[in-house]
Amino acid sequence: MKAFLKNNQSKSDFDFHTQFPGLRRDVAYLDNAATTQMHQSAIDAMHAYIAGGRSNVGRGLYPMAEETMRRYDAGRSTVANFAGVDAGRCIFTKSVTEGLNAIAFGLRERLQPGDEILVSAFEHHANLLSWRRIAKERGAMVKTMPMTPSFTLDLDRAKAMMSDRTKIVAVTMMSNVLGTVLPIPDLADAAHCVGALIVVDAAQAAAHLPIDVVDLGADALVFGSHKCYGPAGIAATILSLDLIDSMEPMIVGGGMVDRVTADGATWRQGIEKFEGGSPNVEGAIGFAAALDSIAFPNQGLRSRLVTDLKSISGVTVFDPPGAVGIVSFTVDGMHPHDVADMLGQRGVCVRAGNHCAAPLVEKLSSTGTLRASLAMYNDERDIEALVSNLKEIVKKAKA
Amino acid sequence: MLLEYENLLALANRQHRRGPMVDASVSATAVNASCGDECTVWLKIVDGAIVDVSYEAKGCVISRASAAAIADAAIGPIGRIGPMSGKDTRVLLGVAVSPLRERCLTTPLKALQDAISKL
Repeated sequence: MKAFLKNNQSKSDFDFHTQFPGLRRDVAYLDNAATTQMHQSAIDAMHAYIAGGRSNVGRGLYPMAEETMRRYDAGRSTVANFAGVDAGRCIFTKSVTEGLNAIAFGLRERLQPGDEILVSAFEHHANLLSWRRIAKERGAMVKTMPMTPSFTLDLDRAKAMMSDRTKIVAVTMMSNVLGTVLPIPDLADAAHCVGALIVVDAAQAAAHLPIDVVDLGADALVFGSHKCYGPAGIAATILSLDLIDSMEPMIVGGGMVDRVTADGATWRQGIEKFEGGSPNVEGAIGFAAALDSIAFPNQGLRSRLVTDLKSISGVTVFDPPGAVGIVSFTVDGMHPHDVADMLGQRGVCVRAGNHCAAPLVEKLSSTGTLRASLAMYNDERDIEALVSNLKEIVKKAKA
Repeated sequence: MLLEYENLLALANRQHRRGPMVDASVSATAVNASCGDECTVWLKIVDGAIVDVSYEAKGCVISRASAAAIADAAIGPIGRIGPMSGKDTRVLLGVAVSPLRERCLTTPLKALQDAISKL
């Protein structure tokens, strides 16, 4: 990470339109929790690799293949270092969803009937359905660590739920709906005290909070590229060395086998075991370049957004203490999709609906919420565009 | 879009044909989980024709307006209903609706077609 925006810095301190060519001047892009605009450095790095001659990795025995392998390995090192570990613990998957599914698959044989998996009330479907499926297969149960009335994790009740039946705690580091930051180190300590593993979904957190897998105490952690200014189609799954040794790979095929006989096969050792098939080399290169350029959004912007939205009559804002980067809100008497549609027509991009976190959003609103999510390139003008257009829409709808 | 929204809102809030039909020949419900839209239609059928329609709809404006338009258009021979598509619903509403909201638009039509398929 080269630069971090401080609270007293603004977008004008950086030439963001040069750094992010997809950042349109006629649009206030506030759907960054879905996907961020790509950093020029990621585009340049991928272009240099592709235009310079590409090859597969781990197969060819010619110099170009050797150079591709070097770039791929360097990318992996950068991504792993971003999370505070070395490359030997970093597996590339196509998405955070695939990474979480691969972890659930790999841990399934550790589960016995009656065992428990704890998830939080804040989970994205990716970190919920993957565990529900494995639990059903193994006769285990998925239990939900609850939310407080102020939309934070009820840590005391979460800790009280942990017992020797708890085998896995699977939890998001940052809610993709509310921006709530979950206390991962506390949960990790509590999980480890009862002999459970902790799996962390850092899909949202990676663009907003420092990620250090060791400091967090995570046994496994997943984050993706396209929410961190890199290309889509690639994510990092960080595993403990124990899990790398003991977990079964979800995907089998070329590239991950050690030996294949007429009636059997053995897997390669280490992370190679988990990367069956031709890898996304350009994705890894772009992901690494994006992480080298990442900065966290100005947290003062979120406060401004919350304050301004709360000033609009009929708008309800969900604002958990300590939340970062994301604000969910509703408009009285208006369906979120209608509002998002009208904002979109006016050049303001937000998301509406259940945000792939239906159990959580149903507690907030029966029809879903609107969500504005910030990135390093957003500034006060984006907030003003959202708020002024929303005021106008609400006013006309009431007229 | 705002003008279209205002036009659709009047249709979406219309009370004509609203509510359950006690002597309906058939009914069906369709949902659009992504938007939370839900539409139930009740049909009275006589001699292969829909002679009366009522509906209940909740959800976004497009879905509720579409339900009202579909209810009006349903009166007539049941053979007309099966081939209807989102394109027909767009024509009925008379406004441009984003392709991203196709399911909002077509949920009431699906309820209507599901009801006919039960006959």
